[in-house]
Amino acid sequence: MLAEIKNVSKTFESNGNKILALDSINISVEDNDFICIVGPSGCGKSTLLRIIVGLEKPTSGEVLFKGKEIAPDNPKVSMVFQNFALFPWLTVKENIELVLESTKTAREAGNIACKYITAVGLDGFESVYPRELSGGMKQRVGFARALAVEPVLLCMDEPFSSLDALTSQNLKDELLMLWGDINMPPDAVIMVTHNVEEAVYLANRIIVLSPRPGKIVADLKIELERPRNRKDPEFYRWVDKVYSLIV
Amino acid sequence: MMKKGHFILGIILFLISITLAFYFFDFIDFPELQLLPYYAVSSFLRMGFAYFFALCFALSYGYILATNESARKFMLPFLDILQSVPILGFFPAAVLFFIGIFNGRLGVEIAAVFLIFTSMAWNMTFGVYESLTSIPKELVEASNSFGIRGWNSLESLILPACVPKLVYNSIISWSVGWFFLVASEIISAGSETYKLPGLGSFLIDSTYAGKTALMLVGLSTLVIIILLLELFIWKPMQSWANKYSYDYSGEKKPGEFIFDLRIIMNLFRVIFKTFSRITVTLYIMVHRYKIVKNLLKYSGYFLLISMLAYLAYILINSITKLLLNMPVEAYSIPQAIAYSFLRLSAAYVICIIWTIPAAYFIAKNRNASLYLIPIMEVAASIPAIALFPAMVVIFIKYGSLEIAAIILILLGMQWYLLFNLIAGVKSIPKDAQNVATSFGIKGALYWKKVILPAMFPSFTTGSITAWGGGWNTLIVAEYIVYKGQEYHLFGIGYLLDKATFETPNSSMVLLSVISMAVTIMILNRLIWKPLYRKAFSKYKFD
Repeated sequence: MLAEIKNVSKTFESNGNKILALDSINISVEDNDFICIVGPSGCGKSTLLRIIVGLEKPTSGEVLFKGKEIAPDNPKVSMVFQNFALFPWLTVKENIELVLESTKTAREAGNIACKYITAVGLDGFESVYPRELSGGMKQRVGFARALAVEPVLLCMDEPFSSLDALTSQNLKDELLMLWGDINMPPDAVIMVTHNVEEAVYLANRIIVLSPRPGKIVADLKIELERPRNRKDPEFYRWVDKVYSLIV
Repeated sequence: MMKKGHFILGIILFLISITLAFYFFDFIDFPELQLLPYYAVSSFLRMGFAYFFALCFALSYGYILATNESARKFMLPFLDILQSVPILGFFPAAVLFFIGIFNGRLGVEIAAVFLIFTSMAWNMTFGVYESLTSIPKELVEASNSFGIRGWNSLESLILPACVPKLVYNSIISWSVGWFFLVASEIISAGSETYKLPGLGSFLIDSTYAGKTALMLVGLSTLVIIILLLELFIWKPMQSWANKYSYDYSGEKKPGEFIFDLRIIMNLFRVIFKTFSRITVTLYIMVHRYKIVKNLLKYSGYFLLISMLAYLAYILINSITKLLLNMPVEAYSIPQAIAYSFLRLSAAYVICIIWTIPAAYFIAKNRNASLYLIPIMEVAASIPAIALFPAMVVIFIKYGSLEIAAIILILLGMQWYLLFNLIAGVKSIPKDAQNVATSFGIKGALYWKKVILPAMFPSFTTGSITAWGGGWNTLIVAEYIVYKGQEYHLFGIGYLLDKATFETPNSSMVLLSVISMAVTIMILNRLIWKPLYRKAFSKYKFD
């Protein structure tokens, strides 16, 4: 088992009222999982992801990674952000090197950055600033940065939601390729999305959360062969099933 | 939990009680105190008048700038020059001018209001111009497609578009205005000294007379007024103005207040509606009759041209005088500017050293934001010039005037930088912070690659205003008369003051002001404008 989310609950305080956002979440992440967390908006799925990577503390419960409590700066777990979160004053390559600088020499960092720039198909854009890139290309940099630390677990918060359909389809296929490649990171992926079709296309497990307070409604194993075909009636049965669980 | 409003209100109550205590118990010792409320009201009215004129000027000049392309070609550089001229420098000339037209007290009053006006108007005008040029294009097109043009768009599009920046700049203008209020109430022009009843003259008088207690009462009265305005006018006005912001991204949280704001906000709405109505009515009246329109247009041109002609006349007159009889001191101007520049730089370096870490700490720490920011706002609201006499007394006793001057310049500079930087740190997107946390970017690397670059845009804006404040403070920092004795530091501020007060010499005044303005403009062109451009093209988060 790679990671374990044990009994995680989260309450927020606003104007003196306590609002329960997440209610006793239990998930165990296996070595080769591709988990998609879906649910209606406001159900706390992003909060859950932030708790999993350690950016936020749960009110109760704990998150274990390889048996130990998760630390936010654990290099084995990395994150792709919905709005890319690139630094505008750093070039594509510098943005990636930045996350390597504290652990690698400058030379190594440069080499690794180039390797992942190639892996996400951004060759030739090394010295371009994020401002000059399209949304899809920015998110490629986001992927390359997250992969560059060679994480075991990759966490993503709606990484495709601000991209156009064609770009996101290409990126999804590349992501699946990297995930399937045992020589490349990551081993496991946890992704938050509100797009059910996207979840069925990518995941081998879909976790459905209820409206607030977020509770696990279902934990489904998607047994569809890869590569998956969106026009397959079987594919649609899964989509319908997940939808019926959300609504 | 204590809210910020409570805290400010607490400070106000505390100050009011101390002031009242003095007011009632020391009546007999200090008969001057009896007039304090009158002084306070007079000073406030001066500010109010100056602000009203600045507002009208900003709206009309800004509107013409944004809509009339041929006028923009000379009106924009003209505004740029006006902004670079150290206001205090040409004040004596303005006093003489107004006294020449209106006799006696009225002339001095108008000169004072004019001085405060010149400190308030330019940034507001730029605010109007910027907001009019940045109205989203779709909105203009949408309005046009629904047939909203001309005076219709004035009420529904143009005036509302100006609101957020105008409110923001009004707050800045008022805080700058207080500084010049203090400066404007005691004016020496030539051999004459004119004094206006007000808080500023009260402060300076009581300090020079060595009545420290009185000075403190005057100071706390000033702070009380500033804080009351902050609490009852500016804070609610900011929440009201947010409604007019075109920034659709993310909700803006209204500030925390102790009382229901709706009453005040409704009041603003009514005032704003009335103001729009009057503007629209004027606009329609002007445009209905061609004669009126042309009359206004040509009288505007006439006014502008006659003003320019007058300026040119003075300029040519003084230049010929200069050429015939160049004052010997004129040759020391470059050196004086260099000295003053070094003084400013020293203060600026100290500013940078303390404000960057302080801003980061305050912005990141909830409690610090809650308690330190109000305290610092109070401290910042005291015009540095009002503290100078007190500081001079201290430093004549214990130290050098040089240090006193640098501290005064520091006081005139640091708040702009600090508050801009705090806002800058607070506006760093949360995800950028998360990237740093989740990828373990810490320590020196974090500062070098993440925080300092992220602070760069607010650092530039802060620096530009800080230097503007610094140049103005310079004029009062390098020269002081205390108990009949004159103390000075060599510098351009001193040369200017000397030519104004000590040995009146109009050509030296002119030369000093011009060389100062030219220096400021060169610095702006060579340093600040490029830095600003770079900051906003490269270092700004989208």
